[in-house]
Amino acid sequence: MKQKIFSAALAAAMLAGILSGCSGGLVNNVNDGTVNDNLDQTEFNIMGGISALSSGYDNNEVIAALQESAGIHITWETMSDSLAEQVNIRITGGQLPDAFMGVGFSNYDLARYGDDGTFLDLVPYLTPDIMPNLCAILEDHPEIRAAITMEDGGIYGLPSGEQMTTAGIGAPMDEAFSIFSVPQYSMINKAWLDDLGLEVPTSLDELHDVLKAFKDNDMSAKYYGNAPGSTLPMTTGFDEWCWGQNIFYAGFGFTNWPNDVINDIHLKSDGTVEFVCASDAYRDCLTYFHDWYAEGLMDVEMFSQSDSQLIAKCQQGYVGVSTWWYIEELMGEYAEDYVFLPPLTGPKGTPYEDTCGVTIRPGSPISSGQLNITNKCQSPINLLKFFDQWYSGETVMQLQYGPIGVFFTGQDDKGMWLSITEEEAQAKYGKSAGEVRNTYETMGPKLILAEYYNEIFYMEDRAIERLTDLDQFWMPYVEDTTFYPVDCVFTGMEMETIDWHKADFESAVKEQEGLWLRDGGPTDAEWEKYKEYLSTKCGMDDLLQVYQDAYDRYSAAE
Amino acid sequence: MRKASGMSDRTSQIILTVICAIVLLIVAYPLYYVVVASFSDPYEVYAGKTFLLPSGFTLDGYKGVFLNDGIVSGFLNSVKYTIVGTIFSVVMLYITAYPLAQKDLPGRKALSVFFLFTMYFAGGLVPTYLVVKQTGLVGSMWSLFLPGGVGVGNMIIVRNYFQNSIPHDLVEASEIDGCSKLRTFFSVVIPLSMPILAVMVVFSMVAYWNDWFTALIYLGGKGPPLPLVMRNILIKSSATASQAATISGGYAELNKLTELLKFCSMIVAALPMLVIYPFVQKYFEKGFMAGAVKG
Repeated sequence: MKQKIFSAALAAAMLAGILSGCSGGLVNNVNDGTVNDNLDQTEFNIMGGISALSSGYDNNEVIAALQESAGIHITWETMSDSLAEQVNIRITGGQLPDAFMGVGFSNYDLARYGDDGTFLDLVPYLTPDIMPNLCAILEDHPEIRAAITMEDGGIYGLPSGEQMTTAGIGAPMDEAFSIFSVPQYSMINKAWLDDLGLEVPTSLDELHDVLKAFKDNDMSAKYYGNAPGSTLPMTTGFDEWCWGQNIFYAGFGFTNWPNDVINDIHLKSDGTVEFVCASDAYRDCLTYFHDWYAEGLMDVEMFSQSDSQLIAKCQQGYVGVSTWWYIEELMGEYAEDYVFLPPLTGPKGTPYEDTCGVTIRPGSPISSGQLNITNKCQSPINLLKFFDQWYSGETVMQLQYGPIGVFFTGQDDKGMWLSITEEEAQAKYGKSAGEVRNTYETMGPKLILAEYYNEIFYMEDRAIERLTDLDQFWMPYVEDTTFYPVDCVFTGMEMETIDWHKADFESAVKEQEGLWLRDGGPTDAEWEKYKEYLSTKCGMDDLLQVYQDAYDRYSAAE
Repeated sequence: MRKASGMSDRTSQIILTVICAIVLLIVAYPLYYVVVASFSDPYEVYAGKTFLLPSGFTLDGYKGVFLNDGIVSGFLNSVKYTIVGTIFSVVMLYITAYPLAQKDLPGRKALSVFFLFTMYFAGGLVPTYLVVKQTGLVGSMWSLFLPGGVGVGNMIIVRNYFQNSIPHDLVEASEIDGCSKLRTFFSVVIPLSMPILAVMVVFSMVAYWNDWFTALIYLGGKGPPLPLVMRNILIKSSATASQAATISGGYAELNKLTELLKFCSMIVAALPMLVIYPFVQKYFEKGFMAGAVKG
């Protein structure tokens, strides 16, 4: 009896908790399609993210000048960490600022907060009177407008994105590829190869023999004089962004880069979407690489190590083959001994003998979660006029790097702005150029278009170097340049499906991938069970349908 | 016969000493390793090159920590929060646990359930924040103590101690001798409960010293305690490293500092507690098990 009363009390308490969690959702909906022409408010309160290294927006002369010319004043409430918790607290508690900046709301959040009227729909305000710069950009780039328009037709935030592409090094604009296209550059120790009289491998079989030779001859000890047995023939991370093993899967016709859409997605050139993690090639691939792992050619720590640990190993000269964003950074003082290891063809005597299928990773998306005006704002027009100034090349350049006169020192004869050199920065400010930039960098709706790199300022040297490598060395290995567009727009229902299944799906696939690599590829029964599991428990079929539908609408619109 | 047993005594002594030494090594080496790592080049640490002595000796990590402006004020803030918080929490523990230990307290069962309930169900971050906000505590140091002032787990330990380890007869005797309830509490109960008091002081002290999340959420950046200052140094450094990936120079080089700072801040933050611990330890062993067994 006592227990019954207790559990009843419990149930009541829990119910009360649920109910109180639901109340308070009634906000005055401002999105009726009309322009609020109130111009009275000139003091605004903006909450948002800031780089931990920034010296604050109050001291930022670029932002100060923009405020002055718009005739408004902004009180900043910025934080560099635990932003999401604090923003959620404020939205739930109804204590809204006039706008959020640099928060990075997902499309799912945007649709939700747009729908309940927390965020202002900007469609009526996107006119040449209020936002001349942005309107001009959207006119030239309808794809940007498409990317920020939600399924209900609303636009709940201003666009941002960085289009760092091969266009910046002279490729035609419509054939340009993002700097993220091939995130992992594989590299091999050429000095060890020469020492053993071996060639740079062109197929996985050859690489296998090379790695075996590295291991058998203990090249780290023999060539660099490290401790005996320290040689790691090959070490990488596991499904990591620029330091994973995925580039080696090219021999089986796919490279399942971790990406912003959903991992393991692949768009075939005929426009059908598939998940490579359910394909036979994937199965054969894991079965094949398990042998490498079992022979000790792949590092046993590949599943657990952090990037710091990978760098540590490489900079000691222990490593034969690895992957990273650049060679120099990973290999440190041994960098000169390394060369790019090109994508390799599949094993001999299998259907993959001539296969070398590097697929492209989608670039970074255009987001509209970096500047969102809330229903609290009395005079959106004043605020939007301020932000419209951000959509000019020279302004956004200064918001990204630093003011003209500080970070940018002058213009060359083509009218391109020149950035401060390391020596000048050290002499003038006693800091590195990177540190100067860090104190000024602003987080917010910065839209850096690919053409700015040809018209307004130069890309950083290292970006140019990487893009050149991408263009010259890696892209020739890419036969099929289709990739799933990162700017696809999803309906509310579709976003629910993605939100519900994506995390489970990705983690289930990754976990099983690791197990098969470590313990040996699947038997027929295990393989069927795995596919069954993905379909029934992780919503693979639903996800596939969602991504296919969204792509079909996207390509129809183009 | 006698001799043989003496031998076996000595043998077991030796075996015990050896076992204890091994246990000591197992426990102490990781701590020692962190100290060594805080003076070493992190990439050499990760490559497994450090064992007993630092490899690639460097003081950059400590430089990074101590050259930060916030470190002294963070330390002072932490001391303040720890002292005030510990006093507050221990007082709250005593004034809740003692009444609940009295068998003749009306509604004792219901009150116990009321406290126990909070061990299993919490309001969650957002609702708790809203309560703290509406009570006007956000930004004040009391927001660190008031919401979680009574640690229910600790309170139950103290209550059990009162029930089981302080003879009821003593309390009765003092009352017969004319003590008021309050006098009994102050002159009999508190002196008799010193061991558990020491344990509670240490528990609260460690908890307040290490706490950064409450401060992060409620203080709104005003008067950050030491762990929060450390955390900011670390975040700053890793942000430099990740931004350096796209500009001038090296992620690898700056990431090194981040890794080093992790070891150094561990040492700096743990040191004060390590210094205080031995002084309260003598009470600790007595009090730790006391009250743990429910009577």
